[in-house]
Amino acid sequence: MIELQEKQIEKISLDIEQQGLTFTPLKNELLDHICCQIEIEMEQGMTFNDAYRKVRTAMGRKRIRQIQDETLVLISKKYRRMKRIMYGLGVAAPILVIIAALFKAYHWPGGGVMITLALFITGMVFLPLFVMVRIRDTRRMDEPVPLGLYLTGMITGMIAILGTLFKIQHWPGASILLTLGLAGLALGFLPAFARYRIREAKKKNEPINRSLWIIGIIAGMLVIAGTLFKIMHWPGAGIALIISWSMLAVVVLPLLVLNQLKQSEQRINSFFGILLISVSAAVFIMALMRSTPEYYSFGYVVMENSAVGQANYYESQIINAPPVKGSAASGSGFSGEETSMTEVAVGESEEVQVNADKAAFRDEADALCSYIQSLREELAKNYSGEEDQPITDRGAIDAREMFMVGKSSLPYQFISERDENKMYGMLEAFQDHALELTEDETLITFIDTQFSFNPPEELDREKWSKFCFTGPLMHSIAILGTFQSTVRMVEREIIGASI
Amino acid sequence: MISNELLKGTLKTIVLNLLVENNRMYGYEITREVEKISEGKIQLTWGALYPTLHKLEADGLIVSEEYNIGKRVRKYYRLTPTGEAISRDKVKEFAEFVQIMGRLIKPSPGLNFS
Repeated sequence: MIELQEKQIEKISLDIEQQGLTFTPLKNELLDHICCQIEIEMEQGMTFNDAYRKVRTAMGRKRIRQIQDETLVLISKKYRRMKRIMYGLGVAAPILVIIAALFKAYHWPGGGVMITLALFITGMVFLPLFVMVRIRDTRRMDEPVPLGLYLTGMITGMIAILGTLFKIQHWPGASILLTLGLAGLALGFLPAFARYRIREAKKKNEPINRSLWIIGIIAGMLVIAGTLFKIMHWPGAGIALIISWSMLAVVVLPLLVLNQLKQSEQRINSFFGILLISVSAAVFIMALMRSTPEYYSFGYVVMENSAVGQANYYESQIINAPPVKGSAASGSGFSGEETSMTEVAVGESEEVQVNADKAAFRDEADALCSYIQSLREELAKNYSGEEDQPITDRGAIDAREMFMVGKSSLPYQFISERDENKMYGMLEAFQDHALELTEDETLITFIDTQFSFNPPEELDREKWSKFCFTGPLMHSIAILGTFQSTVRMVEREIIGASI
Repeated sequence: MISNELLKGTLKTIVLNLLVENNRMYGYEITREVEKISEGKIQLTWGALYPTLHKLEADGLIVSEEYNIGKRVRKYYRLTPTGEAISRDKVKEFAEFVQIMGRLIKPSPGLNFS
């Protein structure tokens, strides 16, 4: 009986390895099988080379790689099911993101829930499942499992996705989560992943497009870093994002697609191609939903103009009225102009006390108006829109924000709680003061109606601020304008009533 | 030659039954045995055989032992108790199947008697 020599066995072993056979138990078996067949042929007088050639042509049409795939699939039902669920979720999550984006953009109900669900599925279910499948696949192939790499990727990825979710929902702690997750991804996972891939390819003598990998990873790191900088309002975000997105779009993506076309049998990769395309499609659709139509904000402009006009008018009426002694009023918060006032002596001594009260009242009104004005200016300063379209509804999705290359994004509630509380207190004090200064019933009713933004019993303080200051930036500015106009109007009525 | 299509459903039965008769076998041995018994009419391709063997092993019907034969490893399979029981069921089922098929599909007598 003929037995093959070591060298011949080695040659066959190398051959089948090159055909992609890595699952060791199967490899040993197939190797033995081929050797047996060759030995039989050689016993009938063939040389090794002839016998080997004959066996190879008789191997059947099924390729060795396919046999391995089939075997691995058959081995475990649970594993197969897990893999199927993973693929399903991987496709479902981006689709859900696209639909949720649509809902959000059109303010249909349910958009928030869907975004939350999609991100939750991606981060908490898909990602761990994917890593589990990867670890199992690697083990099955009898290769060392880069457990640290997989875990780093999974944990940083989960934190980053969670951070995104928190950010979208305005939950506290979003910044910390995003910083941790994104920095971990960019500085920890991506470089380690590239190193691992390149080293593995070298070990297995696989062809690998090393430059593509390096460019891709650098671009990926830049995108993540730029996103992080953007969210944290650190400088340099815009340029990093522009460079990295262009690198990805112009260099990496075409090369990647070309590479994929060359090795089309790798199913797992084409799956990620699909993922990549669907996510890009999501971003593209969001980009199409640019900002709000102009008419949406037109109402606020009307309201704002009217309020500003009123405030200016009442203020000028007060300035033109005979001033009272002791007034330290020195400016209008509104126009920002310095108003010098000629002091006019008021003779009657019994009126001195009343006049002093009124002067204090005017000072209070001025202080209140300048404070509100400073809030308005603060808001306007933060505003990031284009000149010809000065109003943006922050509830809609803005293309510049989607790509994160525009100016800073603002929170949905624009006025800080501290500022709002302060203003609320000042408004209340002003109202009380005004009511003290008059006994006229009609005027008291008038003042009460003018301060109707003062929450009635059924409207608590928290709701008041929500109604006044949640919504588009322009809405908050306009509301502040009406407060100013109210203050000026009441001031004029009180002062005018005593003239 | 028997077509692969016909073989597909019976491969497991064939393998299990061979193991009942032969105690332990390795992959190549199984293909040889099948070829011999069927007088060359059935040739198991390894593309069908090995995935089936691994599947049977994963399902707990057979177990494997590896032996070093010189420079290479030979993997022998044997039935587990569950495998033996299932093998009996499968053989019974198959016998029934053949009987019914014989009634369902009657070859034409003219050809049959030639």
